[in-house]
Amino acid sequence: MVADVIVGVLFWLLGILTVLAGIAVFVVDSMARATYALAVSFVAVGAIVLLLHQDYIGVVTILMMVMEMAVMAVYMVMYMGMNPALMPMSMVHSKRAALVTAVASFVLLGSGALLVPWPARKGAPPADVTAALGEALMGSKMLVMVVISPVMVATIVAGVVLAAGRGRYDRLGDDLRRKPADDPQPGGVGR
Amino acid sequence: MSDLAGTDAVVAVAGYWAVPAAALVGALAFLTASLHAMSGSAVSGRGRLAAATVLVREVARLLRQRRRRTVAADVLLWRFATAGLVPLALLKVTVIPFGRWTLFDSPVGVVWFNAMDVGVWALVWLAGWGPNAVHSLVGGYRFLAQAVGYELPLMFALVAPPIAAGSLRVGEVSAAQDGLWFVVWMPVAFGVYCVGVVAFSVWGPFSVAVGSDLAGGVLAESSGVDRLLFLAGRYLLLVAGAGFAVPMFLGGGAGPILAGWVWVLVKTMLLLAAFVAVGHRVPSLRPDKFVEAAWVVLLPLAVAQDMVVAVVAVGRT
Amino acid sequence: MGLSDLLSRAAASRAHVLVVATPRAFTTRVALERALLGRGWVQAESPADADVLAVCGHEHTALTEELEAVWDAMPGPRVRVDVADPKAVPAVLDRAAEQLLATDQHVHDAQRRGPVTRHMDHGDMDHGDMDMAPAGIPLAEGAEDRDGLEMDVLHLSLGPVLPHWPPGLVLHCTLHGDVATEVQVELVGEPTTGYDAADTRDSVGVVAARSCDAVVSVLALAGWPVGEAVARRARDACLDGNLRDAAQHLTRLRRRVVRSWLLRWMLRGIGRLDHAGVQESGAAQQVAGDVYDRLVALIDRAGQGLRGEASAAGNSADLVAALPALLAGSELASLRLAVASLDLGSALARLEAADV
Repeated sequence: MVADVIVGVLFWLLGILTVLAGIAVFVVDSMARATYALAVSFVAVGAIVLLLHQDYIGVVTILMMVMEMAVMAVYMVMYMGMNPALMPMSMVHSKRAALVTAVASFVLLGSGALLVPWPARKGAPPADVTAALGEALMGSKMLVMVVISPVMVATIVAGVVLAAGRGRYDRLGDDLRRKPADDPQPGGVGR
Repeated sequence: MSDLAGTDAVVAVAGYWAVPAAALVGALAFLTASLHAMSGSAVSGRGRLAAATVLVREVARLLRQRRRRTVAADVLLWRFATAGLVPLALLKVTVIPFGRWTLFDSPVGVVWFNAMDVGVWALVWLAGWGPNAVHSLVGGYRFLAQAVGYELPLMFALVAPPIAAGSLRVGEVSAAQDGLWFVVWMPVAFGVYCVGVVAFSVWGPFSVAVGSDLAGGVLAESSGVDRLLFLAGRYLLLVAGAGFAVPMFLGGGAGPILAGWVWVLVKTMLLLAAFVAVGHRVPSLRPDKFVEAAWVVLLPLAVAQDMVVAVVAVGRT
Repeated sequence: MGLSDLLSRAAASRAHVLVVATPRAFTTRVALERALLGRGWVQAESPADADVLAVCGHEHTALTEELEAVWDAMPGPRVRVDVADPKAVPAVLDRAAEQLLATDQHVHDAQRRGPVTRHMDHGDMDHGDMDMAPAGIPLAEGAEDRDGLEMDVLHLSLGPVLPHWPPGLVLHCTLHGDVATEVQVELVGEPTTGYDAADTRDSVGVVAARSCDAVVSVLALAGWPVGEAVARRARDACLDGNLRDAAQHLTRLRRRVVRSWLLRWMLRGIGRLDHAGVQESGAAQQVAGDVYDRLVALIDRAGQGLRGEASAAGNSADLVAALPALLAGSELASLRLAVASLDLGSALARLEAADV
């Protein structure tokens, strides 16, 4: 009983923290603060998922989101050319439309979550939730997943290669034989 | 006699044990820092007593020193970052079994450990951003460049023991090293893991974020309690990393005669001594050179190791 | 108040000293470093890390402003001492230790300081820009760096108070991100009153010690504690006049440096200063190769110096004049390594000796 109460209180606290941190993203003046307010919001969501006994998903959410926010902070500062980190500057656009859409979707989804007649649970959760989740998600399609993952990585790499301003011929010369490669910032392995 | 080889599962203990656990980890961090300072001062030939108390005196000095603020610094983020390494390291330690006992018997303990060390990315960058100073900022960005290099090989190395043990629970990984420790047939994973630990502790060859070529880097503008917390956090992370290697690769509490928790301590301390030696003897690894080596050499090695482990695991069932 | 007394004494027994190297004070500075390491004290990396500000050499009115700025940047408790010559070092350090213990004075000093405000020069700033200048500092402009990305332009002055930095050198760098695209050289801090005659005499030991000192700087900046320790021992042996020991230490140092493949890997290709335009200047020969090559050359030059062989030192004035062209385009940490490997301390000393 006590455990339930604690879980309940934690759930509400984390929920409120998530929403407040989300609001903070748009209210603070600094890019770095906005990014890390978003990180706090995501970590709180990950913690809520942990409370729901979905351990793997919760911890992986926290892991991925913190790493993403760390990288995103770099890009945010890089692309916002007016030093927004130091300037009190309004970073929201088309305020009214955005606010209306946000409130409307919140009301829609919230009322859905509250008013839909959810079925009662039959049976107990399986002993190993992570394994059961894995089976349910992938199950017989494991081979497809294994093949798709390298294809996705290859697509990302290909996209970056296509977007890069300098190709093999710029680096290695017309006969692809220049040693060492002509890079403005050479790497450590001497490729 | 409690030889833990593959028999008992790990038992979760009550929450109030967190305090003595934190004290133990703090003591280990203190010992590591003392060892580091002592082997450094071996050069100057000071007396033994002076060498042994060097860390107490350094802590006293930092406690006595005033804190600083710089112009237009983001004080909230700065203080949060310098103070944040300590709780992060303590959170990591909660999943490490100390003999038979653990504070947090999570079914995904390995992933929890990894999630916490990703927090270091955020904190070190924030510590560089906060002071609004050139050297700190460059230090923070250098850490991120280096982090991009070590993180993926570390993650793949951390995957290998769970594949062999069939579980992400740290206690089960520890118990699955029945007779043959993982370090013996997964040496590459162990090596890459150690590189990862030294790197996320901003230690030794990976301390470019606080390097002398940047006048102290991230710590260039920190003083007093903030500096102390950041430096303490580094050592605590090192202890957490060394401690985690024990159930993952070094057989947990397994060993003859002595109790399980004694063996955990012994193995952790041996690994910490190795890390301190590495800190003295290995020159700093610059991120621009390290990143390419990490992606082109370490990562394929780690993935190949995972493949070998997976084949063996499938073959065993 | 026994506990706070104990704390103060423990704290003062491990002071961090920010050593200000000034021209014509090489032997003083080295003596100071040896003494403070011998006491178990530590060399500070930045003003924030320092308890004691130790200015070597005689009066330097040219450095007053910079020293004031560094003094302001130090958090309390702080002590400032001047070290005139090597013989004064032990007494000065004892006095610094005593002053660190005077807690009342430090509390008074702290109360007097209050929050530090920068002098905001509003005079020449257009007031229309005021809303774009938080805390009175104008926002950085952008400019392209070598990869074509727009990076903020920052103006950073390196030196004259910087650990492992040639004395009296100030580099005004224009940084695009962390790459220094433009570098301007300024030489400051010539002593106004007398200087240590021993430094101008420059005996065999001192010349070799200067080269070893450059090696210490490079290895310290490269983050190699073991190597730095061996180089320090070699430098101290050179200065002690014990030439046989010094030669032994140097051979040991050379063996270590040559055997360390990691060090070679890290320093390879860093600080390669042979751009077009440098070839014609008289400095080409001195700046050949990358940091690693110059490091080994420094050790060799120290060995030659000990044996009394004259080494082709090259024209120092040319080297200093060629610095802007040499260092433009280097990343900040590479710039530090490159400057350390060029042994500008010796070059500037030769310039001073020529002036005398």
